[in-house]
Amino acid sequence: MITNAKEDITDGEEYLLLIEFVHRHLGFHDAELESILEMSGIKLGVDCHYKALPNTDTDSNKFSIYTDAEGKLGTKKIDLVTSLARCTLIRSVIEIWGLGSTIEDCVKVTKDENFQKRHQRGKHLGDAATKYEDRTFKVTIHTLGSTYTREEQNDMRSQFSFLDFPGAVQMKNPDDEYLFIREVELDDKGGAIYPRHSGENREIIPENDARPPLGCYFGRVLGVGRNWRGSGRLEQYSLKKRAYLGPTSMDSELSLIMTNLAQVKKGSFAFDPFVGTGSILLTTALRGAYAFGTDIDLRVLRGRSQTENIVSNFSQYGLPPPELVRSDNAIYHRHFRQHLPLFDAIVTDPPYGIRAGARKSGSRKDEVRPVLDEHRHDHIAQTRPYVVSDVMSDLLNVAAMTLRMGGRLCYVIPSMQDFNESEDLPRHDCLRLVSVCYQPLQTELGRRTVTMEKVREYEEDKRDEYVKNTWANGPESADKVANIREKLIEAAKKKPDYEEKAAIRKQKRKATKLAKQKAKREAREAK
Amino acid sequence: MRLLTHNVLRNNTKAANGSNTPLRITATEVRVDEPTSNNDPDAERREVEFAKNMLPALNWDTLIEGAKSMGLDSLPPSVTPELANDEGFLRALYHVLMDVHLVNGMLTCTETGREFAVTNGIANFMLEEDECEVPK
Repeated sequence: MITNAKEDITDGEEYLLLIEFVHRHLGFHDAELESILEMSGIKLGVDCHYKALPNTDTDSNKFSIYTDAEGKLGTKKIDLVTSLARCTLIRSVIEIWGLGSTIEDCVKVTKDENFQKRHQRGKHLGDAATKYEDRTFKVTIHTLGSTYTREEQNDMRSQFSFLDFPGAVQMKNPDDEYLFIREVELDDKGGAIYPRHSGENREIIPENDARPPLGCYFGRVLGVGRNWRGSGRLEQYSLKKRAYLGPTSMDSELSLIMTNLAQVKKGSFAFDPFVGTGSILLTTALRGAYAFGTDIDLRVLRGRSQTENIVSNFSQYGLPPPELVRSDNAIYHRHFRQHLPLFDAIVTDPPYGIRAGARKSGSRKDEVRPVLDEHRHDHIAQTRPYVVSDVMSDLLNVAAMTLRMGGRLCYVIPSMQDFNESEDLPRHDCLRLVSVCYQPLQTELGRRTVTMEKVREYEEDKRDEYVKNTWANGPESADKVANIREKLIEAAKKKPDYEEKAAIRKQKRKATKLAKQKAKREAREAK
Repeated sequence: MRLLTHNVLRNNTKAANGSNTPLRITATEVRVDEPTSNNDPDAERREVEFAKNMLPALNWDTLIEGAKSMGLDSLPPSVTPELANDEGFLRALYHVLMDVHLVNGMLTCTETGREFAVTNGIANFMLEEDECEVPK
């Protein structure tokens, strides 16, 4: 990766970078990128700009070009590429040498523009870099959404053979990597809209094969995000590799995106008031934050055993142990003294009662029976259901109270289709909405990752007012995030064949149960 | 449980009546971790930064009491402006705040005598139902 690159482009000259995104979490691309740029002190629209690609509409976020038309980026250019490496959703960043609607056009531009000359001079690489004559290289091909055989890829490669690099080809860690991208129209899931091969017998569909690509791009790779030279940076954090998990553990990719949205960096103090199995807290620690988590459920905090708990997950990655406290976020003010803002970031996945129901302290009954002194020792404190609208208003209020000025709150909120982003999102007088990223889950259900920033000092005596203002449309908005589990079941019942499928599921459950009982019995008898 | 957490935790139930007195630590097991900075100047700088950021939020007397009951009595009685900018002091403060863990023990509210157990480093601050406000 080029971290010490010195670009010898003069002021005012355009410097084009192509950012290739991973075709996942489409709604998150811009928000993550912009958050990272802001964190690195690079102002979009001042230091660098978006530039639409010639043959795609401007809204397409599959690829974007950054330009330095104003020539103000200067030394920040180096930071730009380095900081982009943190983006979970960026596949690669290249310095554009050529682009066009077909590979022939792309080759022609590459020939005419002659960025190679600049690279040949090598000033931007610094004095210590290997000389151009000796630089090893490789040419990588990305054909998104379609498969090409090795021979076909070699044909594409040979189109660029006029570049005639003097160094040797080296597949592993070459000095220079060149990338050719052939883009076709993709659907939401990353499959081609006009696939090159048929689904069944993998035969080429001639009319789709003949379709021109959306665009072709060629350039020198500056840095790569998640799969930097295939080292599998992301895979090592996969939930599958962790000893301790729960049913609602957040997947590592979205957690990492959330830490970017919340701008968690080395030395940040990060807080998760609904820590659960600590999956989000762990990723904040991976970013170098000091991790603090609370939960009302003591069982998830303790874990299953000495080797399967939150702390063991942390030590698996060589991270210092997180701070865990069992407390109830609904009554934060009852557990903690009034203190100055502590946290730089709050990253959390609050309980919405879809899989894990939310509880808070207190008795279900109106009449609370006092706990007798002789029972205190082993009494289990009662909890009662915690309504989602209160979960949210408490979360926002605790965030407003405990975040430092400029600190960020990033949380996930699920919703059905009737949810109106501009009206129904919870708000707080001290927090500014930064970004909302939508992720569809099912036809009716989706979830949003919301990022907010503290912009105003919290005033203790305004607490009631803050909480009251959480829902712009009052109960109507609050109702839209509540009872999602019930709504999902309702929606499922309306589908055709619901009854038959439910019967099949019931039978399967029964069979599994019987099998388990049988296995247990046999194990007992074997003893 | 770290001393930083002890510093901000309070028993704020109705019974305590807003007395806001710190919790008394009865330690049965204390673990002191080795500093993790490993002479890395960057990590050391971050520790200093962190301690400096925490300093205004800390209740110093509570910290002294807490550290004492965990077997540490090296903290100065008060923080002078010179100390607040002294790197050596700030790094030592970071060590006290973050690397000293109460593994097992008890936290006692001096006002009401209410006890909160700490087991395996996790403080259990759950309130009994009769300590919470009656639901509206």
